[in-house]
Amino acid sequence: MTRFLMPFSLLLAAVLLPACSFSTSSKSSSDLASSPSSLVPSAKDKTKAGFETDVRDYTAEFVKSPDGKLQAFRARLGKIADQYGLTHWDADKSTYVAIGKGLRKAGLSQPQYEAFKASLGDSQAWKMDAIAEGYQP
Amino acid sequence: MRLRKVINHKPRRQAAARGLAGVLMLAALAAEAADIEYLYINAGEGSASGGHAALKLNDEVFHFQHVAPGWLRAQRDDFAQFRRQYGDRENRTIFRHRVEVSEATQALLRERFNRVLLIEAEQFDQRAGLAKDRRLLEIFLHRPGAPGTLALKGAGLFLADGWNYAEAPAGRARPAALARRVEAAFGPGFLAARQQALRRSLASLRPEIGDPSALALSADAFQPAASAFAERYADHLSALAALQVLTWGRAPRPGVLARPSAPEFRLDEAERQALVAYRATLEGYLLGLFRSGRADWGGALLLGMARLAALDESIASARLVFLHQAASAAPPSHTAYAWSRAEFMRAKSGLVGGGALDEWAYVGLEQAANLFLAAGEAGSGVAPAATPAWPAEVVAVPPALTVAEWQEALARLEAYQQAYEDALARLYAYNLLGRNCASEIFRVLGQALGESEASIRAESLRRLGGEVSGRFPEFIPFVSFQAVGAHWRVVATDTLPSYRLRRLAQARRAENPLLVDLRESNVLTASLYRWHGGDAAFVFFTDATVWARPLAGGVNLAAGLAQGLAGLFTWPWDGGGNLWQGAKGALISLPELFFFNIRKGSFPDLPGAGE
Repeated sequence: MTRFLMPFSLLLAAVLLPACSFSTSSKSSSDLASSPSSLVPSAKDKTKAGFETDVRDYTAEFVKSPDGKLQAFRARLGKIADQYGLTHWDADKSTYVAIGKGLRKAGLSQPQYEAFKASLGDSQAWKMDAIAEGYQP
Repeated sequence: MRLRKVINHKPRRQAAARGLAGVLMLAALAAEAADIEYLYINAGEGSASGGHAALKLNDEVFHFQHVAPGWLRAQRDDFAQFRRQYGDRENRTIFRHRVEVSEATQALLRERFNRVLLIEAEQFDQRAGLAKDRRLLEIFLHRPGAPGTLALKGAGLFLADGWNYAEAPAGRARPAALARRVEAAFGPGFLAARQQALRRSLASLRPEIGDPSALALSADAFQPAASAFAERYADHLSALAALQVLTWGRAPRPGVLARPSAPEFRLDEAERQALVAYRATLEGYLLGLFRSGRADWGGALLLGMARLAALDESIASARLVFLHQAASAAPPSHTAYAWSRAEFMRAKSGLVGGGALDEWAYVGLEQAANLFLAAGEAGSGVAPAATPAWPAEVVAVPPALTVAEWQEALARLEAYQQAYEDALARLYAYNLLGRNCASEIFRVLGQALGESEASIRAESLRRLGGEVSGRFPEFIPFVSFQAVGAHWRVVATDTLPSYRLRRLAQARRAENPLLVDLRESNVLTASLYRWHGGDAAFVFFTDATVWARPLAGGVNLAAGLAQGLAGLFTWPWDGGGNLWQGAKGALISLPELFFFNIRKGSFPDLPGAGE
């Protein structure tokens, strides 16, 4: 019995050892149940900071991409906002400040920056001001 | 709960052995010191028989998970969330090496790992969009198995299943107050004209299907996902639904608004006034949606109108009325109730004195109210989804194309979808020996540090203190942990014991340790663990004992075999569930015969509200 079990167990262990966590979607970061603290008001600033970081990082990648369309940008921003429970992201100053930070992070030239400020800010003064605020070093 | 924390500082002589250059480099780095953590999560029965590896950068944990259908995907979690899942629910011990690095290195690594996430998010979003498109086309063609209706997010706030935008609603139209404001702002007939324009636009919608031969996906190139046809179609339907709700003056459906009677939900005059001010802000925003360039403005309008209705009732009744979000069932927990009550009261007190209410604060209040309500009603501490979906199954009327045209579009879509799936499989296929959760961390890390092997090695030495390649045998999670300990600039190592081991230590301190050990050694008398169907049948815990492991493993093996045997008879009723669980139980008991433990017992139902 032992002669059979020993090699079998070692073989089994060798096969299983490097195995990694198998995920189901319910265990992903979207599983807010595992992190209620991220939803409650006391964690608001942290949540808002996370939103701004995600918008900044996405913006920086988007503007460097050769085939990005404005509608795709807005759609992704909507999805990022949705993850944070935010619906009115397009009326929230923090969104545009974060976009400005993303433009800074992307290291654009001044003309490129000005062009993106106008298009991503919908040519609206308050949005472009917020983008400029975020763009400041 | 305090953790057992074991800090092993590296011997000074080891640091000295690195030579003067290393000391000088450390001194330079100290001016801007930061740290990263390499995590090894030990084996568990449910999802990782061989352990798991992750990299923690500040509060974020980056790791790679094995996902269906056999792919490996990047994941980012908040550390508390990560620990809750792996350390508590899966009951696995987390080992950590803290590695001293410069702030620049920490930022460089975060940037690279996050870029991987962004690239994957776009590619997998595109994949999801293709699947949605295919489903929608199958609905249009009334394919067998296709539901015939479409789940429209937000529509269920006001509309019942079966809603059809092409049919005139029953009853008499009583335009909402907001509709009058819209017409005042944009002119008479604006809403009717907008509806007509939307119908025309919807009728002319066409799927845009790519050319499979031109498909070029790369794991290193960021490529924004194209807007899916199904999403554009749903956006049109949402907008039409919102306009109908507005012009016919629909009220939220029964059950959409929560009106709890508990005294905590009463509003004083200052709180009521804060809601009056926020109502005006929200209404102004909803008016602005009609000028917005958002394609999904209809969904935002539906949700906003439901919240307006909740605010109106709150203001009129001086009691908080809010969107009711269902929480999934969880065991009653007094701590969850107390915790959620405290959080709700804190959110409510934030209504006054903290400046004008914004959406962040209002949504926070709404979520806290739902948690408190759920905890009180069902003892659940489970958080609701971030944004209420409230879908309704609506009739999917196809845009104007012939059946033959739809069939042709579906055929092209299927070909493109298959090509896309194949391309993703080539990029992200999980490979036990070559591309797993540990090897991928070192691959991405290498990408961040340099382009050639020599530059990666040099930068690893400079930034991390040494190199770990992630190649054999370092792709094995626990070997990678040892390699990091041996080669990187580790300044501390500690252990976060699993949930059960922490509770066991607590119990041993509070009671007779011998009695606790005896009682908790097996599932029959244990008070800390309750067996559930997610774990294979077993009798003895073997993670805390070593010498008795083979004996206990023999009993566990017998239990697994017995479950498997029983599974042969229960197959017709459980679809082979018992047989599979028994086989798994027997297999993971085998290593116990040779002093090796995989099984820990899991706690999948632990509430999220903390202990």
